[in-house]
Amino acid sequence: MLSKLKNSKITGTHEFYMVIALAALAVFFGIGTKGLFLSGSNLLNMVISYSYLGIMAMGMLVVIISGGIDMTIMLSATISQYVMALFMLNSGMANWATAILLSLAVGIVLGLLNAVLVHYLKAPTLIITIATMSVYFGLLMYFTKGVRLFSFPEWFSGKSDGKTFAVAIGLLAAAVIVTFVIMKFTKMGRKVYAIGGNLEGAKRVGINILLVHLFVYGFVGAMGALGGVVHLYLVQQAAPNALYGGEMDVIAMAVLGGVNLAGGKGTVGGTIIGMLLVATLSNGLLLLGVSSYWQDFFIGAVILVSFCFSGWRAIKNREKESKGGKLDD
Amino acid sequence: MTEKLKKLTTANGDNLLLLLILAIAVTLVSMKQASFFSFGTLESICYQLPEMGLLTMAMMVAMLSGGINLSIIASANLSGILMALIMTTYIPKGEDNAVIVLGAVAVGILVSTLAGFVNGVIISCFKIPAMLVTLGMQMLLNGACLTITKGATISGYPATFKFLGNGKLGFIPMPFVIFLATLILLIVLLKNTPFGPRVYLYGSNDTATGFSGVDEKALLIKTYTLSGFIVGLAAVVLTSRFNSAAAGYAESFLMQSILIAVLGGISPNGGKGKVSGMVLGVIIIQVVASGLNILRISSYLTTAVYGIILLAAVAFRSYKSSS
Repeated sequence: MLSKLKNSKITGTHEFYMVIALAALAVFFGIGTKGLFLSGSNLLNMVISYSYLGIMAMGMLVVIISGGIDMTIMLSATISQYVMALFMLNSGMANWATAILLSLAVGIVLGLLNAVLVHYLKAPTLIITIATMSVYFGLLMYFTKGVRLFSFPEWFSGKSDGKTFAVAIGLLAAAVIVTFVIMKFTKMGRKVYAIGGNLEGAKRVGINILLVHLFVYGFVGAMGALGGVVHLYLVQQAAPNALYGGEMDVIAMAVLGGVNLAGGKGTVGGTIIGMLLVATLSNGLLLLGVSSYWQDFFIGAVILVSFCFSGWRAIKNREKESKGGKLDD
Repeated sequence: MTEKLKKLTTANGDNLLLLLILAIAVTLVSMKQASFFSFGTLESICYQLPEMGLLTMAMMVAMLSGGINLSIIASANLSGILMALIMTTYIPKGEDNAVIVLGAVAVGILVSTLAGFVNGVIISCFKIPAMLVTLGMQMLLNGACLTITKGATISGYPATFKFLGNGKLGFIPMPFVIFLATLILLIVLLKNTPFGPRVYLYGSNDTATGFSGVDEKALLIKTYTLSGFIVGLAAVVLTSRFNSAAAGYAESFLMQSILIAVLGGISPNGGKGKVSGMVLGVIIIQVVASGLNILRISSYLTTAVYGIILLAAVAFRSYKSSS
């Protein structure tokens, strides 16, 4: 019975261990805060306040599966958010649909620029996107002079519980479903896995790599922009440097969900768990009264420990494989 | 033989090109400000260059092995904060105590070295990409910096410590002495010990390195420990020159160190690059920085310009490697 459980498909996955870690953390914080952490309203607020990062993590997931990374995600979010804010303040045509579409368009254009550079330059995507990040950030701060935008029209600024739920959770759910469907059921999704798993092999079977790159970086740009919309709604203020530096949290969510090892791997479910882990950790520590300064330290520590763990498991699996044993991944 | 000769000229051609860029940059800057071409400028460059040079060396070592070290700035900040904390706690204001200063410096260097060692262990033993490990480490160390300082700045150091970043040894600025010493150490390690060729080999083909009987784990741990050690030295210079320490200092230096390494010919894919090229890269960026400063370009626009230079350098390198 026990060995059966050991060899079953569910218990061997990275996600399985992450769910256990998440449950353990939830119980720990639940007891530590005398149930406050586990109360419905706290959990709902927690998910709402991390929804925009979760949306972005969907984009990051796709990039990391393709074997790359996108350090510009927060700038796609900020720039498209800023453009959307200007649009809402200055145009009578602004409503939810046009504002979101405009924001998505800006994010996609910024992403496509990355895609072209990533495709034609022979350098790690990390270095290329760090460069574009500097260009975007420098220009953004230069042109906006750091000015914040606020007092948006009533349709955007009037907040109610139902509306907040619809915007934050609704858009998060939309992002999750779209990502899931694309990665699971479309040819493009399979191609993203293919180039992440083996770029050379993908080229040889005739996959148009440029097209996949355009899709991947356009998609992460769009997810950045959508996250930016939710963030703008939640804070009701567009500040050019508000999100700067937050890409670490997004990468952490994707990576904790198990997308890390060498590209070509990763699931939407894993990333949701990763998002919940980061959210739980920050929210739980806050409720316990731990200074917010500790948060980065703990999240960093959890990431490194999770790396060691998943790396150790990958190596174990490889050993088993070479011994002819049964694979459990 | 001819193959070797050809290789030699192309390799030097790279440095010649960098020298040309440097000459153009210097000419442009001195056209804008005639006084640029003076001993004073040279001296101020000798004070400013070492911090960037040291950080770039730390980045370069990791890049040669095909990895990257994104935790250098966070690590330098933590070292700086710890050094500052030790000195301000144990040395009364206005007094000096060389022994405690040395102890603080030792702790600072040790902490960064240790961070590098841990990076190396996780990267090599668990086979996780260096980019992700060092990103996680950056987050952890930044968190540690914030936790220790609670966002505050620690300043006011004894004269002995200030000397390390602002003093002179004979007529050479002290930071430049530290820079030169580290440079020599790096050149010796890369050229005259088995460590050097192995790093280059691992950077260009890690599988082959494994088959050639090199202990990959030890190699990577050494690489990142060395990178961390150099970060520790950079932290000493930075903290002393800034005369203060806090979380989140010098964050723009991370991109700059990558920029300089790539500009100097260190391949971002690993296995290629020379120390001489890197040094030329540091000098070029120093001159460009002075130029942008003279033109009173805003610091944000400067960030954008650096990003564009990095893209251009990457574009040039990939064009060259494909032709």
